[in-house]
Amino acid sequence: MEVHISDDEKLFLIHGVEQDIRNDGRACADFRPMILERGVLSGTNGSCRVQLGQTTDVLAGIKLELEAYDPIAEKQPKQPMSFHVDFSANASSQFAGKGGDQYGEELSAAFQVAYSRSLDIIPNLSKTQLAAGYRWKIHVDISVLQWAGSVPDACSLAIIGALSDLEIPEVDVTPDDGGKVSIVLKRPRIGGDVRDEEVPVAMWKLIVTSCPMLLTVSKIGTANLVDCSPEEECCIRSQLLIGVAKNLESTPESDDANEYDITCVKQHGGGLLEMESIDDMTKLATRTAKGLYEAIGNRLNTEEKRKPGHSFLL
Amino acid sequence: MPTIRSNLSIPLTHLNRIDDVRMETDDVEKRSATAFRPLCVKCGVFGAQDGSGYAEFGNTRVLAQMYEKKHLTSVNKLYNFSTGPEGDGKWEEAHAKVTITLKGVENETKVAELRADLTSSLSAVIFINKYPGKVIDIEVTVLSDDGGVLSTAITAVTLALAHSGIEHMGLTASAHVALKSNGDYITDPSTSEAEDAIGGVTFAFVPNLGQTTCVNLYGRIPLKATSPLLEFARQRAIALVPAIHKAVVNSVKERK
Repeated sequence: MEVHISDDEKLFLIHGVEQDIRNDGRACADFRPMILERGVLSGTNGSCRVQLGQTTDVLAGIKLELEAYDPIAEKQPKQPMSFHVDFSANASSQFAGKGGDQYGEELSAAFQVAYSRSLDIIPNLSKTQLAAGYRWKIHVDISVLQWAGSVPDACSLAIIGALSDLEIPEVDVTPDDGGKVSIVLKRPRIGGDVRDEEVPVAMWKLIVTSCPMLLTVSKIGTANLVDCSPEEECCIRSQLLIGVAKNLESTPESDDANEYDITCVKQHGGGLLEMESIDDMTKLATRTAKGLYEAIGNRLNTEEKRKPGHSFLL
Repeated sequence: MPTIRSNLSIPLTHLNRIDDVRMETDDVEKRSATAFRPLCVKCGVFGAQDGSGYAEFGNTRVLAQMYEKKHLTSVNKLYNFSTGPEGDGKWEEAHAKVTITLKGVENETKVAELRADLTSSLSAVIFINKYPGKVIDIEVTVLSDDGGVLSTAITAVTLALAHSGIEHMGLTASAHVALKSNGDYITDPSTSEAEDAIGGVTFAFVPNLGQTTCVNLYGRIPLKATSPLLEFARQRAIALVPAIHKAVVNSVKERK
């Protein structure tokens, strides 16, 4: 829903955030309460639903595709993930009809940039490369069900949740006629009178502890904020979309400057920024990412497995 | 279908032809870390129409043109912007809407990315409150892409804006810088030069105000290397300011 607030309300909000007090009581670096559920869509290879502040609601689903490509034309291996963000017309009145298509394309492009080096960042992603000319293509589709600010952050968490839920089949690659290869699903041998087709396929999962996070840092007055509500988004001077990824090569004793890499910075929605502001906003994004990595790690480790056949709507 | 005569007028002396073969030779590898590729910028390339700009950095060439349907004959020669190709004639807000139409880019993801960055950069400098209910449409045509297309497009758009007479905060200078794994910078790298880079940034700012309008960082850059990279890119963008000023001044002289 579009939010219109008066100039006095905007002034009150701006003065408050400059004192590190938001209208809902949060500090500038605080996120709203989050809900993350995995395995919500049975028709996908991995899925996740994230609610931010019980208003912003996004749903991520992942499908795998065995892709054949020309290894001669592609000098360096391409990262296998593609992103598509779709804004439901119900998410907000501004997305009615095709109103959300352009913003969805821009957000998809931002995720594509943030994950452009994922082969270096995600430790076992290179295992999706099966043989010369064949790889698993990971299609990540995000649907924004309800918009109440901070959509890139929610999508980012949903992507990490879905990637952690993703199960990729193990395969056996054997040479075939004509220089091609034969790719067969790997089913571990078990004894007894069990037919091969009935043996479950062996699966493996991605290590998501260092997946890039795309965070929105907004400038309101002289303060920098994360996770803006719709009222706060009316008062924004400028915004940066910042992609932060954990550097797994860093040691536990390293400080933030060595522990994190920046994978994407995009100035978004107009507005002008000072150089010092960009520096401050990048540092805030890194501090926030540190807290989010811990929180999401705890959640992924402690979440109970969803019962099969139960939809998130129930 | 009516044909439109083009009055493209870039004197040949303003253009340095770059052979594709020469771009791959040692001459390019000897380019210093702070040197741009051979460049050509022109403010006002269509003699009969206002609001066009051309920028060329090496083999990357971009043409920008303000789209107009009607031209007011009023004394102040303000543009009367009607709806562009993407408008629906129903923009009734108290400020102008800026839209970008991109041509010559095949990759849809890249189109969306460039459009977002250009719209954001342009919206920041135009006094949109002075044109209520209007749609300002800029057509950006990428004639060839050999790296740094966003930076080149921003330069072309800023020249078109200067030529159009639309009120804005000032010229935008932009530069594309890549960072190698050994910590060295490459200014305005071509596609082949940027192949072994770990990342880079396209940085655009308004020298009048000293504030940035576009920061587009990509790749995988350590946090501690981000600030020095942005500062280096800012210094490179400052180096382009005299060239852009000269192009604008030359366009005024040509009008006379």
